[in-house]
Amino acid sequence: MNTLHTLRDAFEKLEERADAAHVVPPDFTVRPAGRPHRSNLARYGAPAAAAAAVVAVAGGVTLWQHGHGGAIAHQPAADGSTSVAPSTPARSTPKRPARYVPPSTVGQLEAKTRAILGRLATITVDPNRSTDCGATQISLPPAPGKVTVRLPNGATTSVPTVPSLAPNSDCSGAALGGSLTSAGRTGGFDLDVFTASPGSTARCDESTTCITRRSANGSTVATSTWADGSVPGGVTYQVEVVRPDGADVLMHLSTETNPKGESSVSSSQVPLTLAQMTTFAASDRW
Amino acid sequence: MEFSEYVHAQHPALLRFATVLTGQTWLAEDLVSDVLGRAFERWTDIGAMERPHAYVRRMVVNEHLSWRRRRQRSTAQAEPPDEVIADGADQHVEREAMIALLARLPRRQRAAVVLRYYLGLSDAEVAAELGCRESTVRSQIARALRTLRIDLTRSDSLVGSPLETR
Repeated sequence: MNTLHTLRDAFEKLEERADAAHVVPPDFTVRPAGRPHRSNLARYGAPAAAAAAVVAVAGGVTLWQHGHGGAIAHQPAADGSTSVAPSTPARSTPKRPARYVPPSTVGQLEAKTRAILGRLATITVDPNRSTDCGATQISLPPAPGKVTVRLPNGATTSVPTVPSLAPNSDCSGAALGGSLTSAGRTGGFDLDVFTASPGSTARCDESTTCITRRSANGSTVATSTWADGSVPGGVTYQVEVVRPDGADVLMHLSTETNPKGESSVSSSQVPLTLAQMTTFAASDRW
Repeated sequence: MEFSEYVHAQHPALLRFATVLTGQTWLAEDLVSDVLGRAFERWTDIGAMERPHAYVRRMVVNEHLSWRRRRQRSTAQAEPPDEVIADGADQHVEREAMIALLARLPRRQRAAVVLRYYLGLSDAEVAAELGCRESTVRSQIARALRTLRIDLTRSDSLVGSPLETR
């Protein structure tokens, strides 16, 4: 038999794992909180020195570090102090020059979606489930630290910094929700297109199956199927493709009117196959 | 308290709690980042609370128990080893076996155990956190302890004190 000591040891070990796995503050992306069915991804990028920023994607959040996006780049010094590098734009601008620029409005996203779907399917967009601001990027200020400044006499000294606690915010991408019809079948869908955090990969959410893979072009692809236990015949497919340039295309499509589930069944089969959804999400026309 | 202040101060504690709750670091990341996203949206209200961290921690528990989180990949991936006999030299093995046993617990049982023995909440407080009756909490914890093969009669009462500062 075990004792509570063993349980406490196990808790402490799990805490150690948490500390080892997470260097704080991290980068992470969270999926839209209110996004149907999707249970919000979290992705950590490579942890860097000081500060973090948040990106909320239609209600979700991504934490970035200033080091990734510009703003004020604090360069760690040997003594733990930092010096201020020239400022760059406050928005979390990609470090790499070829970062993806997503559609920024529902109209743009809808137009692209229709163009890429072509004759494969038609969509009806529900304005109540779509948003121009698919992602809000919020920049958390850097942690308190020291800044090395050069005095008029040429000497340097370290002064403590107290960061502004007001986060900056901006938007990334757009989100659509509505219904999709193909081959006489109609089901609810949602689609998010935005720029993911550096290092993000495609992942499944709640599902009864999950397949992830990396494409030859470096994109990561995740496909999964979720059976709605509360609705007979309720099935939702999820496909996510994350390209190396940060383009993140995430789609849910269901036999139900709402891909989140717990809604009425509108079709006996999901209107598109996972393969068709993957082709759509992986299109180079995004 | 500003949101960014809160994140800087409590993010590590939230990740530890979520890791203990879920047993998996990646899932803890997932949970915490989701919850922080929602907390940010409502920070005007949450930040004004007397104990915002307790509220956010409760959001973590609720999110973990949410139907949206019922992912197959979050279930135990392997059968735990057979019961390990403690001999003083096998603490590591014991601990790993316990972690494996924790992973086998149904979510609500695990949440009850974590709230009771990790946070040190009373049965009444656990019931309030989980939205159930105290009797339900007691029965869930009793079942969980059986699964964990924990003999309370052999356990020092001091170990029931919380690991995390409330």
